[in-house]
Amino acid sequence: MATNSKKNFYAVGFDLLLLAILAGCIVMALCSGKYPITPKESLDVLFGELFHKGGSYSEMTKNVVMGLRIPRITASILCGVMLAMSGVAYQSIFKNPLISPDFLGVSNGACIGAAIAILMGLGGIYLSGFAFLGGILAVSITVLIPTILKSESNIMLVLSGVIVGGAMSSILGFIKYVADPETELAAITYWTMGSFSYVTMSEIKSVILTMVIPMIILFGMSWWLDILSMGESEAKSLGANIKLIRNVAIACATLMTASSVCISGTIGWIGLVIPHFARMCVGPNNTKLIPTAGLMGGIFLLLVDTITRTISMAEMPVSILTGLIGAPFYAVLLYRQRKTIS
Amino acid sequence: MGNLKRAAALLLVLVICFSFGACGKQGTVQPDKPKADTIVITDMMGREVEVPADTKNTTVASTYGVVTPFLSTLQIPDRVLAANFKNKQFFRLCEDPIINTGNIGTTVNLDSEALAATNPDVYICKISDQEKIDIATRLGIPAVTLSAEIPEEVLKAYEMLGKLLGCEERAQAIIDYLKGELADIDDLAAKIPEEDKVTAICMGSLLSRVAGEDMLQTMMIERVGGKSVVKGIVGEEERYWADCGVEKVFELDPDYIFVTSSAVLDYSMDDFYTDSSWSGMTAVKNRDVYQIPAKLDSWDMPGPGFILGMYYMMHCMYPDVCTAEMLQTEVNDYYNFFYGKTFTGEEIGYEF
Amino acid sequence: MIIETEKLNFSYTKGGRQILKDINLSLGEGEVMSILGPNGAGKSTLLNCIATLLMPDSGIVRLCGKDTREMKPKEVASILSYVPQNHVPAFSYTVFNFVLMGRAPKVGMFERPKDEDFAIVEKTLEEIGLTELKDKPYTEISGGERQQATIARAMVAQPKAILFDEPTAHLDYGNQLKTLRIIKSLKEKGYAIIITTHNPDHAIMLGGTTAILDREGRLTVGKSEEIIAEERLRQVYGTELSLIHMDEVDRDVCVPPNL
Repeated sequence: MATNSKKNFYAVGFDLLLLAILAGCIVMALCSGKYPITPKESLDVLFGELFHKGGSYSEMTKNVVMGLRIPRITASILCGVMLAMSGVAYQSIFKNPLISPDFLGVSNGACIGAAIAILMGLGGIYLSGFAFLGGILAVSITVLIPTILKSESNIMLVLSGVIVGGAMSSILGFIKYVADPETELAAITYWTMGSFSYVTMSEIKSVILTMVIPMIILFGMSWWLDILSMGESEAKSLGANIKLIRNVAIACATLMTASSVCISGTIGWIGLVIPHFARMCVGPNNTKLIPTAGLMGGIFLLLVDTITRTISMAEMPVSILTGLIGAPFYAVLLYRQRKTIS
Repeated sequence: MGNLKRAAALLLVLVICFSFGACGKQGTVQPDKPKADTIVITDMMGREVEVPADTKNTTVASTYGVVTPFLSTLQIPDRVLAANFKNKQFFRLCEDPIINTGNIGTTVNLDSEALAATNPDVYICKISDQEKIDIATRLGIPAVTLSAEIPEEVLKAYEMLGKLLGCEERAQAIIDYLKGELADIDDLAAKIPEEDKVTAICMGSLLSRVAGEDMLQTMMIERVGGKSVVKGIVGEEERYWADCGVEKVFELDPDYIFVTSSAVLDYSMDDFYTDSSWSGMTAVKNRDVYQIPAKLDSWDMPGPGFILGMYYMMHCMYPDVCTAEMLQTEVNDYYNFFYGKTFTGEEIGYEF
Repeated sequence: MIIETEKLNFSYTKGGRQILKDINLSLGEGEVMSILGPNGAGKSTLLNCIATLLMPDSGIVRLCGKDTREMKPKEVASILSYVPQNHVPAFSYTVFNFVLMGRAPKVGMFERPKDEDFAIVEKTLEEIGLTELKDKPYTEISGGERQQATIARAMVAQPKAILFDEPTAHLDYGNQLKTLRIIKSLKEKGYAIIITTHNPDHAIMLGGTTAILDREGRLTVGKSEEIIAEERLRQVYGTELSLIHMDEVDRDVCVPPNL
C-alpha cells in the first residue's frame, strides 16, 4: 500500500531520469562557450572551489567557470524551474491548459518596473527590485478588480487579467516611445526578451528565498490544486477553502514568476509549453506535475541559454529561441492530442 | 508514455556523450599570467585600479567605440588585443595596423567569454557601465573607465592612457598639440567683435533634439565665438541630448544650425529645406544649415576630433576670421600629426 | 436528524422572484427524499443552499443539529457530499485519482491522502463496480461510468448525507435504473439522501418522502405514496397524465397520454 501511494503521487522513476539529464546538461553547459574548457577541467574547478581545495587549473579558467558560467547556469535552471512550476499552478487554478504565468500580468508589470528603473538610470539591484515590485503590483491590481466588483468567479479574474495586461502593454509602449533610442531603448527591449548575460550571483542570492519558499508551499498544497481544478462549486463541496487555496497558489506562482523575471527579463513559452508536455508524460496530478515540470523547465532553459551564448557573438535574447523552439513544439503536442482535445 | 521514457533515456545518453566529445579544447587560450607587480592608477570615474606595473608591455582590450581613436593615435597597435571600430574605412585609409585587431563585442554588448579568451591586462570601458566593469572584475581583469565628452576630459583621457600604457611621451605630445590648438582657437575667437557674433545651435538625431547647455557641441559653439541659445536647456542626464521639441527650436531661431555627426539621424539634411514648417527659420532662409563632417572621422564625437569640429564651426559662422584655406591647413596639420597622412575633402566628407 | 431546514428563504436578486419561501424539511438516517418540480422552480437552488454553496436570505440549515453558518467548509463536507448534475472534466485524471479526491474533507492543507484513504477508495470502487476502470482516464469512460465514479467520490468521504442533483439527467434508460439501484442501496446503508428529479416514477420507485417545489417557492413535503397524486402532478407539470397502479411491478406508474 505504501508503494501504491508513492506511485500515485510521485513520478519517481521519471523524475530521477530527468535529474540525471539535468546533471548531464550542467556538465555540458560548463564546458560550452567560446573560452575552451574540457569537461574534466570544469568539474575540477567546480569541486576545487566548492570545497576550497584548489587545483591545477588556470586562474582564467577558474574565473570563467565560477564568474561567468556558474551564475548563468544557476540562473537559467532556476528561472526555468520557476516559470514551469508557476505555469502548472496557473493552469490548475484556472482549470485551463492554455494559460501561462503572464496571464495575470506579472511579466508585463515586471517589464514596466524594469523600464522605469532604466529610464531613471538605475541598475543592478535596484533594477531587479523595481521589476519585482512591478510584477507584484500588476497582479495585485488584477486580483483587486474582481474583489471590488465582489465577484469570486475565475472568469472575472481572467477578464481582469486581459484588461490590466492590455493597459500595461500600452504603458510599456509609451515608455519605449520616450526612451532614448541610443541607450535606454536597447536595454528595455532586452528586458522584454530576456537575457542571462549580465546575471550575477548576488542577484540570484537576493531572490533565492522568494523562489524557494513559494515553491515549497506550492508543492505542499499540490494535491489541493487537483481539487481546485474540479471547478469552484465541486471543490467547495469537497471542503476546500477555495479562496485561501487560490490566493495562496496565485501568490506563490506570482512570486516565483516575478523573481524569475527580475533577474532575467521576460521569457515566454516556458510557462505554457512545459506544463503541457509534462502533463503528457506523467498525467495531470499536480503532485507529479509540479516537480516534473520544474525539472523539464530547468533543463529546457539551460539548454536554450547555452545554445544562445555559444551560437552567435551578438547575444540573442533568450525569448527568441524559446519562441522558435516552443511554438512548433507546442503545435506538435497539440497535433498529437487532437483527438482528445475536442 | 513508455516511448517518451525511452526517448528521455536516449537523450541522457546523447547529452553525456556530447559533453565529453564535443567540448574538447578548441582554439588557443592565452596562458596564465605570472603574478606581477602592480601600480595604482585612477580612472575617470575616480576608481583606484590596480594595473600591471610593467606599463610598456601592458595589453589592452575594449568594446567602447570612443576608445579606439585614442588607442590608434597613441600608436601602440601590437598591444591592442580587441577594439570596436565605428568606422573601419577611416583606419584602413590611415593604414593603421590596429585595424587587424580582434573584436569582442560592441559598446552595448560585451562577449564575456571572448574577453576571457583574449585575456588582456586591462579592459577599458565607458564610465558608469557597471555591468561590464562587473564582468571584467569577475574574470580577474582590471577594468578602467574612460570618458571624453568634453575637451578637458579628452586631455585627461590621454594622460590616463599614457600612464596606463607606458607611452607618456606620445600622450604628452598629443596633449600639448591639442592645448596649442585650443589656444589658437581662443586667439582667433577673441578677434571676433561682439556685434558680429551670431547665434547657433546643434541638432541631435531627431529634429526635436538639441545639444543641451552642458554638451560638447554647445561648448564648441561658445568657444569659437558663437552665442549659444540653449541656456537652461539640458537633457535628462548630465551631458546628454535635450528633447526640447521642434517648436522650441523654432522659438529659439538661431542664425546657424549645425547637425551632429555623432549619431544616426532620423531625418536627412534636405528636410530642413523641403519641410515648409522650417522655411521661416533664419538659418534655413540663409541656407546656413551645416552637418558637421562625419564621413570618415566624426568631428563632434568624444575624442580629439572636436578640434576640427571647432574650426569647422568657426569657418561656417565667421568665414573671414577662419578662412577656407585656414581650415584646410588645420585639417591637414591635424591628420598629419596624428596619422602621418592627409585626406581630400571628398574623403572626409566636407566641401568648402 | 441529519438534515434540517427552518424557514429557508432565497431569491437571486433583491425584489426578484422568490425562489424559496419559508422552506422547512427534515431528513434522518437511512431516509430518502425526492424533490420534484417544474423547470426553473429552484430545485438545484434548494440543494445548493443545503450544501452551503449558496447563502439563503433568511432561515437556518442544520446538519446533524449544528447550524451551518457556524461550520467550516470542511466540517460541512465531512457530513454532506454533493453529486453534481454534470461534471465537466478539465484534465484527464484517472478514475482512481478522481474518486480519491472525495477524501479531501479528511486531508489537511499541506497533506496528501494516506494509505487508509487509498484502502477506502479501493473498497468503494469495488462496491460500485468500477475496479476494472480505476486506472483509466476518466475522460475516456462513458457518461454512465463517469456518473458512477462521481457517486463513488461522494461515498469515500463517508458522509452522513448525500445530495444528488438530477443524477439521471444525462443517462440512458439502463444506466438510469442502475443509478437508482445504487441510491437505494445507499439508503439501506444508512445515508440520508436527497435527490432532485424530473421523473415522478423515480420518486415512486425510491419510496421514502417526496417534496414538490412550486413556482411560488413553496415546498409540499410528505410520504411519497401520499404526495404523488394525479391531480397534484397535473398541476405541477401543467399537463395531462395518469397515475396507474401496475400489478406487474406492484406500484403506481406515471403515464403520459397519447401525443
